[in-house]
Amino acid sequence: MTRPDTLTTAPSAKDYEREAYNIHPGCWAVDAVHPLSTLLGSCVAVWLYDPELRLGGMNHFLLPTRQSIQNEEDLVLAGDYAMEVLVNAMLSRGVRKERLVAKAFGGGNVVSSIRLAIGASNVAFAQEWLQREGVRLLASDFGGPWSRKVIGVPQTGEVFCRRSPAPLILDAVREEAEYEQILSRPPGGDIELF
Amino acid sequence: MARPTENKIPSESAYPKYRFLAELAADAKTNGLHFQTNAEIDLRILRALEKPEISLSAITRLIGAEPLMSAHIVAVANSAAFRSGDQIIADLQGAVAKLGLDNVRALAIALLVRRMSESPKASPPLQRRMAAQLWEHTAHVAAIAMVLARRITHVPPEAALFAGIVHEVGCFYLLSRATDRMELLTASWPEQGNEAEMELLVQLNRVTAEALYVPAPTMAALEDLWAGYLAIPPRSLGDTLLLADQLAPVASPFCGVPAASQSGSGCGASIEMIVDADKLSAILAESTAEVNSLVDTLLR
Repeated sequence: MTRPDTLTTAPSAKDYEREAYNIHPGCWAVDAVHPLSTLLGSCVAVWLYDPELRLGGMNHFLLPTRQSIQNEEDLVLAGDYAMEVLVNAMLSRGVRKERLVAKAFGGGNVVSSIRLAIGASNVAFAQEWLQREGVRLLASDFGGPWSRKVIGVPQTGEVFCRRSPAPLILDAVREEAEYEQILSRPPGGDIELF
Repeated sequence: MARPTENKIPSESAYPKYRFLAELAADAKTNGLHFQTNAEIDLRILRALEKPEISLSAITRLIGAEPLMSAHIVAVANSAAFRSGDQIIADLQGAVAKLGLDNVRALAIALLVRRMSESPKASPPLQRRMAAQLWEHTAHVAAIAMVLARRITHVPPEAALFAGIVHEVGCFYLLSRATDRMELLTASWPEQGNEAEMELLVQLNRVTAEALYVPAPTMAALEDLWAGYLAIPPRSLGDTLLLADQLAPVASPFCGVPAASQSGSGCGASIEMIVDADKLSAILAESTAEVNSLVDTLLR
């Protein structure tokens, strides 16, 4: 795999896409070298960046708050938890919170009215959280009948966002729906390990 | 404009449209484009503008033989986007000198593109409606791209105007050639989720642009548009075009999104960013008069 720092000319979004570490719903990552990417339907992803350390982090959350989540192990799917763990992970790598800037994406109005409401709630949550914590939102692309592929590049702080109509959106919705089903599982349900 | 994803197999119902698109793209690549007579004049002007040694007087003479293009160029030179102070330009040579050859070239191709989509009054309403919507979308993308170039990305504004005008040139050509295949025209081109059709539309746009002598930097910007990744903050001509396409208040009929969702190109989406301490929305609000003036001139 070609690393971004060894490319001779300015890499394109496609180059970054090939090298990116993909973040699934409910996951997060922090990296100083590799691009981070995620595919969004009604979920929201927040990219946080420390321009001094050139360290980037991204999460991908399904619902705004942990109040609607019953299982403890699924807490990371909630926005408030996802933001906390992402910021803490970045602070542990030497980031100063006052240097953080953000870009946020997603909340697509996809498929059903329930998802439309989820998308809008996720967007509102992300905006409120960043404002409350004093993190400057430099850019956002929210809503619309699109799925989005988002790629964040730690070395430059750039983010690339690609809107796509169906069927890419179906992949995003399918993946998010699978996690939604996990959330609706009764507490203490069977867990199969493999 | 819709962009292809991974699955390339067309649905059975879409196959005739797929075959028509494939044949049209292959024919354009092999045999060039087929135009109506008046469009041939525009093409001659475009060819002349390609020559680096052409003089201002020679190009003025050539354009002067085409009254509609002459009037159009004088009108654009006097629009808010180009006008400086109260000075009114009343002659073609003055207008060409004011705009520069790159902008004149963009306007020549704009007229050609528009003529491509002009169909007989007896043509089906759907075809006329799609052509009108596509031209309106194109005019907005071109005007917004020019403003974004001036205010945000700092790429050459005339290149952005030109890229906006040609960004769906193949779709105009498709409409001009679909007259005898009206059963294939539907309100949603490409069919939602049909990546094979989307890919062919990109291919048709590509071969049409090449046949119209679109220069390499503009072709690169079009490829960026078709790839679909917008850099945030935007930096290149491709980003300028892509952002203008997303901000255009009128959607392309070829955007691959069902008509019911189309309240604009963004279809209910909101995009915002801070560029050099200013908000994108504020920059666009300040530039409304400039954009509207250019759109009005292009739509005339």
